[in-house]
Amino acid sequence: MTIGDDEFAMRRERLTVSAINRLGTRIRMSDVLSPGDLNLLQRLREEHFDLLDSVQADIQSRLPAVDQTSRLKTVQTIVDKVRRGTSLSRMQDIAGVRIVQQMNRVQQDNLVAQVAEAVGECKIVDRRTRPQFGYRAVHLLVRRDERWVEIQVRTQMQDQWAQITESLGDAWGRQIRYGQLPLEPDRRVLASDISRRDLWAMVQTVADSIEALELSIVRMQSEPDDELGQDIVELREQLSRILEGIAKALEDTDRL
Amino acid sequence: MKYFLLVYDQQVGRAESVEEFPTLSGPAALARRFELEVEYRARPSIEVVLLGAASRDALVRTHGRYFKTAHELALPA
Repeated sequence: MTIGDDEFAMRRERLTVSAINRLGTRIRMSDVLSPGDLNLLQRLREEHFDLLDSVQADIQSRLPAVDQTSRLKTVQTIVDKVRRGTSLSRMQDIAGVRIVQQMNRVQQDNLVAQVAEAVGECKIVDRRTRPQFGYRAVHLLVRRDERWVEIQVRTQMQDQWAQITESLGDAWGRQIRYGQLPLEPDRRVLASDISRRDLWAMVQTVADSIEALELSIVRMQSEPDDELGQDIVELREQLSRILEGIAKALEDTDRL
Repeated sequence: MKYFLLVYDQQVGRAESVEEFPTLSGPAALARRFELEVEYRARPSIEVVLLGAASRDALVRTHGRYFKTAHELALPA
């Protein structure tokens, strides 16, 4: 019996922080998860699943018109994150809720405040002011029973960028989400003469264009101005052009 | 809240299957997910994903990458 088997047999109740940390250490130190450790990881996810239900119920009861979806991280993404150095007991996104709406930045702030009120004590992380390799959103971190649930609140444009990035990450390696180049960066994308490296650079300019557009729209609402209005039109056109270029490069490609 | 269990192939960029579980069947959906994760363990490109949503449409809005190609995701809104 491995250490993981033993801990699983002994602890059918909630996992303690020290048991989670020991599991994290074993994940970091070994290439392959033992069946016992896999069971412990399942148990940890089950505990987060229960918590996810309670957080979603709180949002639903206060904000019934808000569409929310939830997900639990996969084993592999948890393992990868632990091996990149995150402490398993401090991992804040094993369980996640996502809310995406067509809204401007002020409406996003208001929605964040309403969600915060619905879930009670939480920590707000504004990834619009501190973007992570182009990723922008507002996250609310809810801590209950020594576990975390991460609520992501995204505008539709912020989400579109994140979805494109995640989709390309599946094909070109998830490391692109953490500031690294795609695998085989000089390889041509099949439907075009553009390299993965250059297409990825275009995707990153989309993140900046979205940010500029969203900030201008908010400024326009508080201080209407013809010149700014024209800037917004141009920013929209620029964003559409880049997205069309990216979509065209990815057209007719089952494999990227 | 319904649950949707997806078997998603990262290499292909599409869900191979989507299994739907009715409201209040979270534990059954989670147990099935664990089974599928074991079943697909030898295929690292497979991601077994369990998502909770009011409807499939809501899911497509928030987790488009499981349902649309990168080309479709990039089309201007």
